[in-house]
Amino acid sequence: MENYRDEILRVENIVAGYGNMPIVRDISFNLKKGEILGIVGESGCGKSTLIKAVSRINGLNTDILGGKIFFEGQDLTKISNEDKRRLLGNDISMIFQNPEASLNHSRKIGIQFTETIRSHRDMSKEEIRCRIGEIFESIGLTDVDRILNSYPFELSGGMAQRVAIALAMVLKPKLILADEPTSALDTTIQKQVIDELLALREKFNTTMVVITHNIGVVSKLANYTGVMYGGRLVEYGETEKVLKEPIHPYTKALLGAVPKLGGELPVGLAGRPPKFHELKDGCAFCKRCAYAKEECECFDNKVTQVESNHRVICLREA
Amino acid sequence: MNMKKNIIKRLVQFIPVLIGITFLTFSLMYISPSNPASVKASAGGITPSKEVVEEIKEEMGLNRPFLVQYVSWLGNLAKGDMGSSYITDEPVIDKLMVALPYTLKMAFLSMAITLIFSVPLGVYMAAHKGGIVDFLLRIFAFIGNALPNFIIGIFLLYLCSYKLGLIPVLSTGGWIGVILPSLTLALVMSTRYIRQIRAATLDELSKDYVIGLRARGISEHNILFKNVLKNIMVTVITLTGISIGSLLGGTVVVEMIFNWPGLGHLVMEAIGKRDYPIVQGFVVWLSVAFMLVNLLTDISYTWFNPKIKEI
Repeated sequence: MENYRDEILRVENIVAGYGNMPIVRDISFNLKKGEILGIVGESGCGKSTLIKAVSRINGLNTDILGGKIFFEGQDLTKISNEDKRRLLGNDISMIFQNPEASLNHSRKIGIQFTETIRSHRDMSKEEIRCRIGEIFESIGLTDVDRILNSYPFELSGGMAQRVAIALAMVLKPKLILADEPTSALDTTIQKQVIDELLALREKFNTTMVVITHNIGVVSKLANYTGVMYGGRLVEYGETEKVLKEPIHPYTKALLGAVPKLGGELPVGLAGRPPKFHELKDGCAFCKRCAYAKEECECFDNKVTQVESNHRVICLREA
Repeated sequence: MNMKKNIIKRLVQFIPVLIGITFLTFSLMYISPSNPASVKASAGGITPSKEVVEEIKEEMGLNRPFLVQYVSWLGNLAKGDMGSSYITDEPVIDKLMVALPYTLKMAFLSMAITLIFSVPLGVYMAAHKGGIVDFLLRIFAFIGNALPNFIIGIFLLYLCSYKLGLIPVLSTGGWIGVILPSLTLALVMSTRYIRQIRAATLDELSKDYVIGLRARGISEHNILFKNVLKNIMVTVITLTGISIGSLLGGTVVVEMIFNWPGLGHLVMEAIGKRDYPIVQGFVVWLSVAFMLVNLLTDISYTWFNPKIKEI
C-alpha cells in the first residue's frame, strides 16, 4: 500500500497512434516519485508518439486506441478537458523536442510565466517573481529581470531552451515528460540540461519520462530504461541491467553502435526500422536480427519477465 | 529615436513618388483626345467658334509646352493651389474639401462595421472549425465574395428603403444616409476578411507554441484572445491598410447607387466632363492618402510583432 501511494504514473497496455493506425502497442510501465525512465530507440520507433499519447495534450493528434494511463490513480484516458487543463502545466509538464518553439514569440517571457502560473494558482506578483527567481537559479539562469523582459527570440538558443525548461518547471510538477530535450543542443549545453534535470529531481523529487536516442543521456539520468522498436517496448528494466546485461538483440545492437573513446568507429546496424504501415505479425526486428529464426516471423510478441524488474519481448527468452 | 528618423525619411520619400504619379496622370490627360478649352467654352451649352476656343486655350495656358504646363501646375501645388475646375471655375481644393468628409464618414463607418464583425467571426470559425457556424458563414462568405457590390447595394436599397421603408432612398448626406452605402461596402469587405482571418487563425493555431500553451494548461479562451489574436493582428492590419487606402479614394459604384456625394461621385463626374484639374487634384489626394496609410500600417506592425523593430 505504501508503494502504491508513491506511484505517480502507471501506463497499462497502451495502444496509441494517429487516427485508426496504431503506432505504439502494448506499452506498460509504472513510475514512483522521483524515478526517471529513459526511452531509447532509433528514429521512427514510436518514442515520440508514446510520450505525446501519454501527455494527452489536445492538438497533438495522437489517439489512444486501447489501454489506460493513470496519473496518481486518475485515469487520463477518461479525463475531461477542463480537468486535463488543470493537470497540464501544474502537475504534469512537457518539455518539447524544440522547447523554444513552445514559447509565443510575440509576448515577453515574463508575461508567459505569469500567464502559466495564474492559470493554476492564485499568486501575488511578488510571490510569482520570487518563484521564477527560485526556478531560474536552480537551472543556472542569472539575470532574471533581463530575461523576463525579453522576447524569446532575443535570447540565445541555449538560453531560450533553458527558459522553456524553467517554464515547464515553474509550478514544480510531479511529472515531467521530456521529448528529446537535448537533441537540438550542442554538447556542452546538453550536459547542462542533463545536470539541470538531475538537480530538479534532487530538489523536487520530480518523476520524469525522458525520450532520447542518446544512450549516454540514459545512463546518466535514468533509473529505468526502456528500449523501443517497431512501436513496442522490446526491453525494459533498471538502467544498470539493461545497459550492462542487455538481452534483446536490438538492445545489444544499439549499444554496439555507440562509439567509444579511443576505439574504432563502430559499424551501425544494417537496415532501418520498419515503417508502421508495413508492420506484420511476428517480431518486428527479425529482418535485421542476427539470431532470427523462422519462428520469429510468427512470434506473438509475448513479454517475458527475466527478473523481477527486467522484461523483454524476444522469442529466444520466451 | 530611430523610429522618428525613419518616419521622416519615409515622408521625404513621398515627394518623388508624388511627382512621378502626377507626371504620369498629367501626361495621360495631355495626350487624351479631348480639348479642355472646347470643354470649357461649350460649358454654357452653345457650340463655340474656333476663335473663341483658341482664345480660351491661350487664356488657360494650354498652348505652352507640356513640361512648362506641368512644372507650373507643380509649382502651384507646392503653394497649395490645385487650380480651378474647367466647368465651374471653383478652386479644386474647395470641391475636394466638400466631398472629403462624406468619403471619410463612409470609409471609417464601413471599416468599423467590417472589423467589428469579421474579426470575432473569423476567429470563432477557426476555433470551431467544421461546426455549423463555420459551415454557414463559409457559404455566406463564398456567395458574398462572388457578388459584385452594386448587386448587394441595390438589394439593400430595395429591402431597407423600398420594402421596409426604414431609410430614405435618396440620401440626404446625413448619418442616416451613410448607413446603407457603408453596410454595402462592409458586407463585401467582410466576406473577404472573414475568410482571411479564419485562415490566419487556423494557421496560427497549428503552430507549436499553441501546443506549448496547452501543455502549460492555459485555457482555450486565453490561448485565442491573449496569444493567437495578437499574432493575427498583423494580417488584420495588412487587410485594413489596403482597404482604407482604396476607401479614401471614394467608392464610385456605391456612391453612384446611393447618390452619396463623396470623392468617387465627384471624380466620376469630373472624368465625364473632362474636368482635368479635379481629376488631377483627386490623384494627388489619393496618392498621399495611400502613402500615409501604408506608413501607418508599417508603424502599427511594430506594436503587434516585436520582431519588427523598424519600418
